[in-house]
Amino acid sequence: MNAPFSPPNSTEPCSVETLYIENHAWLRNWLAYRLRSWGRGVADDLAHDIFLRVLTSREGARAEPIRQPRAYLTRIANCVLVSWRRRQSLERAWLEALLLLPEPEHPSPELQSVILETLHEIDMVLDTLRPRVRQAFLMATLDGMKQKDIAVVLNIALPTVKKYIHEAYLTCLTQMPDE
Amino acid sequence: MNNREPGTATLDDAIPQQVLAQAASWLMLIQEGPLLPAQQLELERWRLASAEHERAWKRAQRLLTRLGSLPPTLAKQTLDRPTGRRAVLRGLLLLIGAAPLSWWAWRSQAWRIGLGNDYQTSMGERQHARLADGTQITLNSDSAVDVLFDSTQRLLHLRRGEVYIVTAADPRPLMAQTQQGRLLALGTRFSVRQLADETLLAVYEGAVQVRPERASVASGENIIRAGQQVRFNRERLGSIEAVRETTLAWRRGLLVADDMPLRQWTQTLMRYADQHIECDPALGELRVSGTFPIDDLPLALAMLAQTYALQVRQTGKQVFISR
Repeated sequence: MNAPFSPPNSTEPCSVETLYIENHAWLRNWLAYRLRSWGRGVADDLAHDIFLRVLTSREGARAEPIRQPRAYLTRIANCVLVSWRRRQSLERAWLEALLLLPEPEHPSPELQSVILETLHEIDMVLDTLRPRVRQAFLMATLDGMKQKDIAVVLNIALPTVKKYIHEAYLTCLTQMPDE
Repeated sequence: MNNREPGTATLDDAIPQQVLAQAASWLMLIQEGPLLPAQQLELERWRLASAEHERAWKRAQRLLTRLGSLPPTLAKQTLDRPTGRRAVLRGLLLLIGAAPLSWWAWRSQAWRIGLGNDYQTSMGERQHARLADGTQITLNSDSAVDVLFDSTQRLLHLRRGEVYIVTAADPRPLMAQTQQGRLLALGTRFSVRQLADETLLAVYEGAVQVRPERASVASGENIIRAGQQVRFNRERLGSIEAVRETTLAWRRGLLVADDMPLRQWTQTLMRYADQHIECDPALGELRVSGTFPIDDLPLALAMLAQTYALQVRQTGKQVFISR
């Protein structure tokens, strides 16, 4: 165990407790600055998420001690931030899509939250794909379009369409956990 | 997505890329159409060949289930959200959506069903319908559509007015017919409007192939893509122009004007009310911007008058706008 008040950037390994005590305030400020238009509440929530993530990722017995706490936290915080921003834009796009649909066609609120979760998961995977690949994939899976039609719409050769869709499926399968 | 047991090493878990690539190929085959019995057998054999194949296939099945559980149109619009300028325009729509405006009430009660599967609206009405195959149509004011589905094709005949179509996946091709020709939908959202001597096609997603009645069109030609609109008559297509999603605001009872000539503004509103609107020639090339209700002409006129300091005089069914 380290002394609880060792300097934050010390190269001494430290535990999650120490990490929390020494860096929580700093992390909240770091987030508050990046999320300044969203208010303090969002930054606090995300700081909480980040420490939770640290905790779960370090539950295993084999976890290495953290040597550069702030660098480590910044790396996780950036991932959480990216994911959160993407989630925001996803929910916004969802609301806009709903607006174009008359009220009776809206899914129930419960169903909507289930759909949004699934959309968020798929969205994070699709994020790593090139726009064209993503487009071809969505046309095939959600629009149910034939590959030859996708080739016409996107103005690309059929083998390219096949390559794109295959790439997208492979990325999804690679990133999915086993149940 | 992360449900790993604590302490399990990631690398030991990984399914070889080659196996996942094979699973991806199977998914693509299934996507294109039902597997033939021989292919099904081959898939079974592949699954049973090793525990890794089986694991990969479990993932593939979960992926298919998840994708299948999504409402296609909503999911597509959400995942395929645009960035940049179009995103700003869509933001505008969201803004409109946030306002609690009573004249948004969906006015579709008064429609009546004509012969067969016809859908009709009279002036000032709108009508939304989900067809047997899942395709959704929205009729604008004073419009009529016949739905002619059989085992080989899906045909929507636009008799008059305007229809917005969101196609559903189906092995049969979906076509729209107007007085000037036929449109073949390629997985798409689009609207078709019957004008006096021509058809106006606007595509919001996917693409549509236009086949004017008297023009021969080779496949791959005359494709109108998302964000484009075109007018055509029986002989040929006009030039392709850009179209914005805000054009569809009529579905929510709104007209979104962005630097729109006043003449076009009055012509648009005349589609929704049995009134004749005329403008003082002295107003010249006045252009207007803003969001107006199309179901409440007095309110729309009042908003216009207030914003642009204009006078509106009404006598019977005549409206006159001046400075």
